[in-house]
Amino acid sequence: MGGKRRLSVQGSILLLLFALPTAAAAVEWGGYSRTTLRGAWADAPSGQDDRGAYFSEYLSAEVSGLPADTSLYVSGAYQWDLGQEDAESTFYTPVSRFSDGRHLFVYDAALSARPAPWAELTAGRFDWKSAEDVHIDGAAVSLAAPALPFVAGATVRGFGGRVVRFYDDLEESTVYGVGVDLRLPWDVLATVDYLSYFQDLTRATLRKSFGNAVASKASAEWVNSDLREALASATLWLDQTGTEVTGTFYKKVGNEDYDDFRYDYTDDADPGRYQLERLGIERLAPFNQYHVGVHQAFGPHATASIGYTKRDLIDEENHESASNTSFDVIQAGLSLAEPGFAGLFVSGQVSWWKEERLDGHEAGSRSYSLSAEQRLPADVTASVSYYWKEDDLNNEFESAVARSLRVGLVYRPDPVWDLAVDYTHETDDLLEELYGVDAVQTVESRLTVRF
Amino acid sequence: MTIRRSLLTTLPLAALLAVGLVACREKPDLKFSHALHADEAECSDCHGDEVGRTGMEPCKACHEIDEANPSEACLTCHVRSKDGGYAAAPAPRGRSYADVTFDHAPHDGVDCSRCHGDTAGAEDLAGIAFPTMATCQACHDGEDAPASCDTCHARLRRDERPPSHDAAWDSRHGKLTDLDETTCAYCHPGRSPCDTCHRQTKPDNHTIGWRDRRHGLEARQDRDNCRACHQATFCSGCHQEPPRDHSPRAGWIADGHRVRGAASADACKVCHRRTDPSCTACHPSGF
Repeated sequence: MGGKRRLSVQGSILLLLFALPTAAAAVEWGGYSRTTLRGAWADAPSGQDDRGAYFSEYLSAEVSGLPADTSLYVSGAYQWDLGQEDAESTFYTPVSRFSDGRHLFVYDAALSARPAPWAELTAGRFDWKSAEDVHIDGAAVSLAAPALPFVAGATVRGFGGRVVRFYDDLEESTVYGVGVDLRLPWDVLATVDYLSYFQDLTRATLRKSFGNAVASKASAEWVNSDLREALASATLWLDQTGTEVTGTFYKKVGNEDYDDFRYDYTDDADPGRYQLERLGIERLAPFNQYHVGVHQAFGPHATASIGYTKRDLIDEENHESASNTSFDVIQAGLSLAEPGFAGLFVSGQVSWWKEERLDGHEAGSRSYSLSAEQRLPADVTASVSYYWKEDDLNNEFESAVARSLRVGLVYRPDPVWDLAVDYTHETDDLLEELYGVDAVQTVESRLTVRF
Repeated sequence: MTIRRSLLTTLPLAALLAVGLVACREKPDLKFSHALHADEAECSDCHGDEVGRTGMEPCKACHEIDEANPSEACLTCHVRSKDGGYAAAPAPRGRSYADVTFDHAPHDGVDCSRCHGDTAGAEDLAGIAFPTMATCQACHDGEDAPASCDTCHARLRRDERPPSHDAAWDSRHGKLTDLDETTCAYCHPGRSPCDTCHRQTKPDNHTIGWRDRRHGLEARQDRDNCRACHQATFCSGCHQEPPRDHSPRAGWIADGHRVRGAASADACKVCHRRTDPSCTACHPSGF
């Protein structure tokens, strides 16, 4: 019943969208379409698929300027896993789980109206930013409040509906929430959101910019009135030196009721699903996480970036596990834009992750990527990229290496449309272990139209 | 207890933020007040035709300045530097103008306040209003004035990779304190510009072996990374089905799950509860 009702709402909106009087002067259309066709093959052992194909049509469209300042927007994708015969194939895609390996995903189908300068209404299927972003079939309202003492401006928001599930329909998951945006003295922006979805979730955020040079933010999240996470972050831009610096401190507060909840919670919500969908298993352990990143321009043709992230698990003896560890991540990149050759862009990045555990085990990974892009005559751009990653998990499995080489061409005669064709050659030790496949080769075309 | 613990965590963070905000506030080494001079001079009296920063020359029209012999009188406009002298370095202006080729001359007839707001009422240099791109676009809409990228920008073009999108951009942009989606929308179309990439373009690390094992390794670093593209239900969509290494079933039950479970029982707990019937059939006390 629920499914039929939802389809009816979406169908009505679609019908309304295409029945609009396009001749109206104030009405504007806009949209984006991408058609993807992919073919892949591998030297698979007998009994397994040695080829697969995939088709996708992604469409996003919006009509604005309707009466009451109304906009209608839809987006979705029709995906089709062509020629898929084996459910455990190397070429598996999530759409294979639907009958005949095809499915129409409706991401958005909603209308948004502003009947008065201080009111905005949204209804249908849409994304909504709250304490956590939600994707719902429902309705939302935003109301701008008049200026108050110490508050230069305020917006109150409320929403309710049913969480959209693309891959299953096992539970009725209603969600609702309210929020408020405040412009406080000294141009401090404050946002408080409350969301009810299995549990009560509240998030408060303060933002303050200092001219164009500094953006800063602090936020905290409470679950059932218990503080669960806090974050402070700032980014500094310096024109004189071409430098951008970002620093972030993130604190995750542990949940002492974790085990009780996890194993004994037997209400209508499945705890395993709840953990996956709401909090994430790893995030239940308490930790401090630090990040600092620096982006430096060297004249108009070269930039370098380096970022360091460190997570310190608190009380490791009680919380460390295969999924909860302290770790360090370093990422560095160098880019050259037109270094002596018009239309040439070259870049490389390295990422290094390492974790150490109380029992002495270590795990880590190293990944490298190189890419180059060259504009050619006749509106053609050629590109090549190489990605290489080594996972070194000596406490669990053997090292595993993945390599990916991609060569591509893009034809873009004007901003309205372009056609891209890629060839990819991938090898993966894990793939060889699981399926006996040495390499997978893929050819993909993408036609993009903007209207 | 919970409230006290929350406060113990929150208060230091709030203090840290407050200190950070104060420390980050622009502190120009000049204390010039536009408000103090607004009634006595036009903008052009000091800024002339060149506009922008004036240097000290216009000040000399009214103030007696002896550059060769600095004295405490300098502190009328300058502040004390760390070495006890008189600081004069301008405040940083910020990121927005790095690629801008703006020239005041063609805008000669435009009232200063149209772009600089109430700068004439600014008590200090930190209060100067600098225009944003939206300010420019109020006139540069493609009809009254040109709106092409090269009108104002040296390098930025709508259909070319901007300098910020360098090698580390994919991993870097999500960590910026506040990414302005309206800026992204200039080149990435759609109602939600993030969706242009996050719904359609997979990152480099999503190789052919990504789904089977690698994604779990990355996800434990930072699950929020996954959320940038995937709805949370995307996880449970697959994790409610047996992983492919659970096949063939007989081999998995007889031996496979023991090996994998010994290496990482947490992997099992992603889907199985301790009292899951499929586990208690053989392990009555749970795993």
